[in-house]
Amino acid sequence: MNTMIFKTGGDWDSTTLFNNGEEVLASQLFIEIHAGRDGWGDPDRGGIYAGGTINAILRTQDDPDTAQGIFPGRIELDFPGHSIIIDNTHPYFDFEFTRVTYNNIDVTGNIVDLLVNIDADNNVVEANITLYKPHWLTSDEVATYNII
Amino acid sequence: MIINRRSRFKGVLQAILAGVIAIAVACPLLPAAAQRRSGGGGGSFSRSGSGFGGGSFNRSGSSFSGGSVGRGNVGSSSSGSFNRGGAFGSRSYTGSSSGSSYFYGGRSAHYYGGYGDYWYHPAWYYWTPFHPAFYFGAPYIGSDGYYHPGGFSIIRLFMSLVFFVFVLWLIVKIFFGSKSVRYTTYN
Repeated sequence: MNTMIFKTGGDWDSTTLFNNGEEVLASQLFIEIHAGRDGWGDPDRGGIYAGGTINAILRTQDDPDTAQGIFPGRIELDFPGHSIIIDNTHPYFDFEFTRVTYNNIDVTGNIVDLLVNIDADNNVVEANITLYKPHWLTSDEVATYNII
Repeated sequence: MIINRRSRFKGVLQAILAGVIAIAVACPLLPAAAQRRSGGGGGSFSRSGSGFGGGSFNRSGSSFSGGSVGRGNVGSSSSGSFNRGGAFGSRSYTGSSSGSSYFYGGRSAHYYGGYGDYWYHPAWYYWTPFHPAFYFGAPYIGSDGYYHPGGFSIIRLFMSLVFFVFVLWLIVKIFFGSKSVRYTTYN
């Protein structure tokens, strides 16, 4: 089972990836989650519990053409000012057992979208998370946080 | 920022249910319900020890001269002929159906019960903004010794507006919860 820690200070030199305590020379780290939508495809409450899809792969520098699955396991993503923890230790990697924490707050029931794409070959770094934030008096909010 | 409106189907059943609740809230406004009550447990002539002997207030043709309602001497320390002191309590609605007379404003008048019994012995729902007397102060004895109606209360009017707005908001919130969703982005 993988226990990964991804850290970056905002540039490639400070970007590291460790798996079970050992550094991984990675080519691409890609994580994508889509959840929290109703029957019409619009964002709604529920997050992971409302069903969805997750795609989490790692391409190493030794074999960049092979996509290796990250889960079941756990990955921590530390960005400047943001931290994300994705956990799914189910033996069959069932989607409903995915847990997402954003800045130490459990957003499993609020998450709508998550995208983390760290692609060294194409020099692409993007990460954002979208949460469904219900409000009592005012309109509900679909908030997108651009992480990097 | 984009506002996305999403409509939901709210059936006829929900609309009917909302109407039923609105009618139930407004029920105390019905005149029959507002006046269907007895003496209220305070000051009724049927209380023991009053020395009245069980006779009700609805003696036809009877009128008061010395101790009439319109005078200011009802608050005097003397208990009069009925072995009771203090102001008059509320009157029974059934006792006023025959139109007993009393003295008010210098003239004889007939009492038929109703809103005038609001003050001093109100049922709990008279403290709600559904009763007209809620918006007025209690009658007071003026310098001339006669009762005068209490003034209109702006504060109670404001309280009732807040209350009705809250009830309306609650109904809309419960039965018509569809609302717009706003999209925001934080960098």
